[in-house]
Amino acid sequence: MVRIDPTICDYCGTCVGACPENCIEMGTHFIAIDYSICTECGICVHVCPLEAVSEEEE
Amino acid sequence: MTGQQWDVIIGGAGPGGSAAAEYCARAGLRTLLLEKDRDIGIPVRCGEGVPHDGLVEFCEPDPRWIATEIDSVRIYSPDATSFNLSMPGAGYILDRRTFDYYLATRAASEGARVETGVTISGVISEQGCVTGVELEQGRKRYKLNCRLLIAADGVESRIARWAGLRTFTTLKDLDSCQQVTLQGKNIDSGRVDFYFGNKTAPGGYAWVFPKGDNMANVGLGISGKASIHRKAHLYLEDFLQAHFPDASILSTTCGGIPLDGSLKAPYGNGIMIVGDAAHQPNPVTGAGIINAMIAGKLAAETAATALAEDDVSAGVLSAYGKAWQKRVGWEHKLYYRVRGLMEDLNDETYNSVAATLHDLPESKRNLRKVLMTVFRNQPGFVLDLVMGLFGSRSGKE
Repeated sequence: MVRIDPTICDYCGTCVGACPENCIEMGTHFIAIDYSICTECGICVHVCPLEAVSEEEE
Repeated sequence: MTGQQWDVIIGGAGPGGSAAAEYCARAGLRTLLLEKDRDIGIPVRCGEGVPHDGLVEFCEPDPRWIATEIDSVRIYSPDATSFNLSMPGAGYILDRRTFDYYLATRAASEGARVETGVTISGVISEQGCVTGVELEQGRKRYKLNCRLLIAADGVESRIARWAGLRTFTTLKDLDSCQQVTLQGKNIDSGRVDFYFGNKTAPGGYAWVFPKGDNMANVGLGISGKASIHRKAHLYLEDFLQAHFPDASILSTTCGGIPLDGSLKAPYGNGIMIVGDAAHQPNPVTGAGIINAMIAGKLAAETAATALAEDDVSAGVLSAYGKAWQKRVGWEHKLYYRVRGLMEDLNDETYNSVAATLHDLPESKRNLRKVLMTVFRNQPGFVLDLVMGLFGSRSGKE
C-alpha cells in the first residue's frame, strides 16, 4: 500500500501530475490517495523529490 | 462571485493563469481567476529565471520584482572544467512572490475578478462539454457556471483530467527537482551557473541563480527515471556540501517539471489548458514562465473568438493549439529530441566539450566546436542528433 508521509511532504504536486489514475488529491496543506482507484503502480514513489511517498507491506 | 455570469473561469493564478485572465478581461470577457492558495505567488516552486526578450512582450522590467540582471552564463562539466559565455542583457532572476502578485493585479486592473483560497474540486460537464466547476472555499461547497474553463493549475493539474483529457506526465518525461534559497559568499550577482554530470544531476542539471546580496536559488533536477534509484534531495545535499558547505539555507522547495514539450491537444470541449498543466516548459531547460504567459495570451485570443461565435467546441478551441504549435510548440519538438539525446551523453564527453571551450577565446565558442568535440568522443551521438532533429523518429527514451 502506498503511503504519503505528511510530515515530509512539501505538497509540490509532482506525484499528483504523474499519477496515471488521477487518484491523488491535494490541497495547500493536505494530500491523500484514493485507495479505491490506486493500482499501486509506484510512480508516485519514484518521482517524489523527497522520499515522502513509500510503498509499505500490508 | 456567486450569482454572476462568468464567460471564463481560470484555475490557477501563476503567470499562465494571470496572463490568460488579463487578456480575457481586456477582450471584454467576464473573467474569474481562482487561486487555491491563500496568497498568490507563494510558495515559490521555481528557479525564477526569465529571458529579457520573452519578458518584454508582456511587461517592462520593474525593479519591484527583479532581483538581479543576468549578463553571463558559466557552465561546469562533471570534472569541474568551466567556461563562461558572455550574454549582456540576457535576462533576469525574478522575485516570483512579487512578480506573480503584480501579474494578478494587472489582470484585476483589466477587470478580471481574482479570488484566493478557492479550490476547484471538480468539473461540471453537459453533453461532453465543460459548463462549470465545483468549488471549495473553507467550509463552503458550491458550483459556478462558465462558458469556458481555462486550466492553469500547474504540474499537479487535475482540472483537465476531470474534463476527460489525458494530461498526466509519464515518468520518463517528468523531472524531479529540489531547490534551496541560500545566503553564501562571493556569489556573482550577474552570472547564472549550470552544472552537468551524471553524479551531479543525472538526466538534468544543477543551477545557481543569483538573487543579489550573496543570495541564490541553488537547485537541481533529475530525470524521473534517475529518481527511481536516488532522490533529488540527496543529490542536492551532496551538491550543497561540495559547493556551499557554510551557506545559510533560507528556504527549501521542491517540484516536478513536465518535459515532453507540450500536450498534443491542450484543449477539449469548453476547456483550454495553459502552462505547466499543458506541459509547456522548454524540454531542455525546464523554463516555463514566459511559455505559460504566451499560452495564456493565445488561449485568451481564442477564448474571445470562440465566445463571440458562441461555440466552445474542441474544433473551435483547436485554434489555440495551432497558435501554440506555430509560436512555440514546433521548437519544443526539436528541444524534446535534443533532451532525449543529451541523456545519452556520458561524463567524458561533457568533460571534453568543456575542456575544448575552456581553451578557446570566447568569440570562437560556438555550436560547431561543441558538435565537433562531441563527435570526437561519441561519434554515434552526432549521427543520432542529426537523425533526431531531422529524421522522423521521436526522442529516445
